[in-house]
Amino acid sequence: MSAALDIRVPQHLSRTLWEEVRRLNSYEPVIFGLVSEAKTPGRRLALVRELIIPPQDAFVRTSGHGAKWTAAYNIELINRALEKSLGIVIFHYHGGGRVQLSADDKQSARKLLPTFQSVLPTRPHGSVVLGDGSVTGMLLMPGERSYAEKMTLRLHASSIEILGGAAVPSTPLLDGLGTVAEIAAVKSRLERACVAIVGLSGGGSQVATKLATFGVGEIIGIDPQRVSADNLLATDELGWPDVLLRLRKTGAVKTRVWWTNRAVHFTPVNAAVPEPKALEGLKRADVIIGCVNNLAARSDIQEIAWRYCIPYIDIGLTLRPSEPTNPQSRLSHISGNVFTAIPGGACLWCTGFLSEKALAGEAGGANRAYLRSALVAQAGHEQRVFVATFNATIAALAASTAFQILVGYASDPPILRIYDGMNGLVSEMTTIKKSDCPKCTANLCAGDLLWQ
Amino acid sequence: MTAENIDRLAGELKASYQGALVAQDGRVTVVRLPEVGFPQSCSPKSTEALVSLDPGKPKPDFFLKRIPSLRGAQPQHGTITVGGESWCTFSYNLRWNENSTAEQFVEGMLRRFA
Repeated sequence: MSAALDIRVPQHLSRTLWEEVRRLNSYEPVIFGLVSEAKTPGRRLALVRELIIPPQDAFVRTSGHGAKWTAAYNIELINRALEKSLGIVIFHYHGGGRVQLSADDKQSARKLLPTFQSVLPTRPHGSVVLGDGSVTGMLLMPGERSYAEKMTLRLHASSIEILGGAAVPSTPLLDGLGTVAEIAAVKSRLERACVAIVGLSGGGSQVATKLATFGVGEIIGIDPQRVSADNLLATDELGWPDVLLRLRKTGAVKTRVWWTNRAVHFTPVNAAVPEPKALEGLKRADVIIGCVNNLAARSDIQEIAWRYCIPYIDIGLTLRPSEPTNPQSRLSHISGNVFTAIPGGACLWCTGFLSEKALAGEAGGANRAYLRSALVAQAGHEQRVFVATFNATIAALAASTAFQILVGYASDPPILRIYDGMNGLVSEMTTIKKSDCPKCTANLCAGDLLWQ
Repeated sequence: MTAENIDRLAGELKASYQGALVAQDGRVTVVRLPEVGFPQSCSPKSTEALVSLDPGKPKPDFFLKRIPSLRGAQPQHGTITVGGESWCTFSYNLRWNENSTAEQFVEGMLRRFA
C-alpha cells in the first residue's frame, strides 16, 4: 500500500492561501507554493515553506478554462524554486464540495510538472485544486513518473483544517453542537487523530487519560522510565502497584487509558527523545504534547514539530522556595505554563524560553554528552513534594488545547497560559513571533534534509 | 568558520569519504559520512557519522550513529536531533583550527576512542 500524501500549510500561510485562491479577479487566481518533502511512517509530506502570489501582468488571456501565465514568469518561478531547492505546487480553487481538476487543468499539469521535475528532480511538484472541504490534484513526487491524485491538505490555524479524506463540515464543529451529524463529525475527527505525549509522569499521565476520555483514536506515549515512588506525589494516574511491580510508565498509563476508553489505541514507546523510536513516534503525530522536565528535550521536540509542521503543546511546572539555599524554606511560587506552538506562529525560541545559553547552562556548560549527569545531579537537590493537583490543572489545560486544535471549537487558541498555583489563577499571555528567529527560518516546514 | 572554509571542508569530506552526502540545514552545512572506522578493539568497528559546519562556530560539530564500546565501557555521551534525525554526541576537545583539513578533524575526533 502506498503512503498517504499530505500537503501541510503553516499558520502564517494558511489564511493567505485560502483568501488568495478565492479572490475575485478577471482571471482565475493561482498561487504558487514552494515546498519541501518528508517521509514519515505511513505518510509522505509536501510542506509549504513559501507562497508566491503572481502579479497581474504575469497572466495572459486564454480561450480555455483556467489561468495561463507567461513563459518569462515561469522561468522566474523556476529560478526562485531552484535558488531555495524547493518544489513548485500550483494552487487554485473551484467552488463546491467535491472538486475535480478540469481537462484544461490536467493538460496544463502534464505539460508543466515534468518540466519542473526535470529542473528540480529531488522535490515534489504539483497542481492542486481546493474546494470547500475537499482537495484534489496531480502531484509528481521525487523519483516518480506517475501522478499521485489522492491527497489531503492540512491548513494550520486555530485548529487543523483538513481538506480531503473524510468529509468534514465547513463550520466550527462545536458551533451549536447538538445535532446528530455534528456529534458524529466531532467523534469521527477525534477517532482519526493521533496525539503523541512525551513524558508520562505527573503531567503526561494525566493528559493521557483526559485524551482517552475525548476518544482520541491513537495516543503515542513516549517515556523510557519505570514508575517510582516519587511519581505518586505528582499524579493520581500512577499507583503503588505500579511501583511495586516496577512497571514501565508506558505500561501503567496504557492500562489507565484502557480503563478510561477501551476504543483508544495506546502505542507505548519505551525511549527518550531524541532516540530514534521516540522521533518516529513524534513524526507520526497530529499534535505533540511535551510534558518533559528539561530544555534539551523541548529543543528536540520543537525541532521535529516545526520541521514536519505539527502543533506542539508544552507544559511545565516550577516550584520555588523563598530561600533557595534553605531546605526549611516556605514555597514562594508554584508556577505552571502551557505553551501552544502552532506551526507558523511563535516557537519556544521566539519567546526566549529556549536559548543556546540556557541549553548549555542546563548541561553544566558542556555539550549534551554531560546532560544526563547534570540532570541527575539537579534531581538529587530537588525536594519531594506533592504536586499532583497542580499538574492536574495544567494537564487539563493542555488536553483542552489539543481538543481545540483537533476539533476547532474556539476562534483562537490561547498561545501561552500561566498558572499560578498559589492562588489558582490562570492568565493568558500574548507571545510574539520573532521575524528573525533563526530556528523558525531554518526549520519551519523544512522536512527531511535534501542529501546531494 | 568562513563560508569559503566551509565549502572547502565539505568538498574535502566528499573527496575523502566514499559516498559522503551534503545537505543544507538553514545556514548550516551538514555532511553525512556513510562509514567511519573506529580504532582497533572498539565495538562496533565502524558507524555512520555527521559533520556539521556552522558559520557561527569556530570548528565543526561531530556526531555518530553509534558510540563504540572500548573494553566494555563507553565514554560519556548524549543524543541530539540534527536535521530531524537522532545522533550521538560525545565530549572531546580536539585541537583544530579551520586552516586544518576536514580529514584531520574527523580522524582526530575518532581518536577519542583509542
